[in-house]
Amino acid sequence: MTAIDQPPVARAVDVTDPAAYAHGIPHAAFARMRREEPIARRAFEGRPYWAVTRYEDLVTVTRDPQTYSSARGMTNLWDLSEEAMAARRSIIDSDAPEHVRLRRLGMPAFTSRKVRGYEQTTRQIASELLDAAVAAEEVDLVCAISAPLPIGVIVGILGVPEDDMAFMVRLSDELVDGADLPADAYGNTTPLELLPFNSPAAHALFEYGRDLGEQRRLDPHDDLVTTLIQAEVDGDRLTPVEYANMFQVLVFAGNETTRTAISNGILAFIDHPDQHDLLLARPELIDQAIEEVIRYACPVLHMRRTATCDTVLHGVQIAEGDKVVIWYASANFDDEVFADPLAFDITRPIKPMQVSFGAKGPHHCLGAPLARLELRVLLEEIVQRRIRFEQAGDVVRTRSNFVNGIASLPVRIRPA
Amino acid sequence: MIRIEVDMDKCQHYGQCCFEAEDVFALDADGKLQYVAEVSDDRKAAVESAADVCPMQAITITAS
Repeated sequence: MTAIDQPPVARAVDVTDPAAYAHGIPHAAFARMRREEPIARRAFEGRPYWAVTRYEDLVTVTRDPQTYSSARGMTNLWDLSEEAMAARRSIIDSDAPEHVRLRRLGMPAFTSRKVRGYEQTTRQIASELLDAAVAAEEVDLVCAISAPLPIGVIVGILGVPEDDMAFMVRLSDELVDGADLPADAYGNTTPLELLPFNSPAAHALFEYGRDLGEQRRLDPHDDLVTTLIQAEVDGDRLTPVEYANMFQVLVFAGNETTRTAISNGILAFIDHPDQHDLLLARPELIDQAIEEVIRYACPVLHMRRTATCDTVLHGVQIAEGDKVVIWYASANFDDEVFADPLAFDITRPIKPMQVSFGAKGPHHCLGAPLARLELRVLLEEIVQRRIRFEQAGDVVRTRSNFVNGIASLPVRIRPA
Repeated sequence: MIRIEVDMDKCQHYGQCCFEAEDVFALDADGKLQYVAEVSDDRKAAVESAADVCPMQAITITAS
């Protein structure tokens, strides 16, 4: 290739390509988009969309659900048929008033008071996992701690039997990284387009949730599945499709996202040993450390909205029906908002707040208090044991443009 | 005392605030939000939680 054939600048990275996340979030690509083209016209699978990369614009879109709908084109990058949207629609892919109804049903399990009640169980699970990891000295952090802690907590809340925990973990993994699964896995006969993440694993989760729901209908327990099955809002109940999607979202969101926060958070402490020392020396920094882990880990990379009318965003004309993709993976590292954004700094002020939970819009993460509790308990137990982690092998990342997942992180555990 | 104001143009009646401070916020029989406009200082934490979790960020709190 001669010099003339070389493009003048490196070809722009396609931030929707899962390969762009092979080594983590492509920060340089997002920095360039924020600087040069904050509302960028891009294409995904041949269809145009707007990529929103600045913090301020992401907040604007998030807090204006009337203009930027979650229901109209749902919240995935892909465009779906009406039939597929009807089959796959969850609390995440809805607007008021349906969203209000679904949110009210799920909310009672995740209030501050309710979440405080989960602390003891969370601490017990975290303690057992950490003690086993310390005894083993060398473990895969993901299998040893990041995966079992959140799933152990959420199955307790939902009422899923402990024996099925590993199955729930496997299914949520396969939702985001299950390209190798055959379409008929788990006896699936539903067209993939009708399943969340186009994944037969979603079929298995639906089936599992339906069976468990049926059991709780006949034999109610003090758990969230029973609450959802029995719940009535304004005299009506969840439809079977709504219930199945709610169950799937709760298993996925209560497990995959916090796991991702833990894995990336511990990796950040490994890469920044000074910050680990600082937390051991000054445990009162824990609130800031939690927010910094959540910012830095950015478990969910983006969500999609659809414009309900012609509008203008940051000086750019957006037409009704346009697809607008908000990149948390970029806004959390916007240097207009966060000083030295690529630094992992547990003394960073809590406000302006990271946007990993959805920037306080109507779809702000229902489980945010639970995620914070799990991170708090884990960090407290690490501090209390005076231990540190060292990397003991290569990090394997999840192939996904949607979650910032880590599939494997071999670590050694040492006294601090 | 703490003054509470809810922007009813923003409020979508999600009722999330009710779970955080049930003595201050409530949904009536029609599902519409009702609230107490002034509470004592000892309710500060609960009311702040309610404002924090509001999906529409419609609740403003001021010390009076």
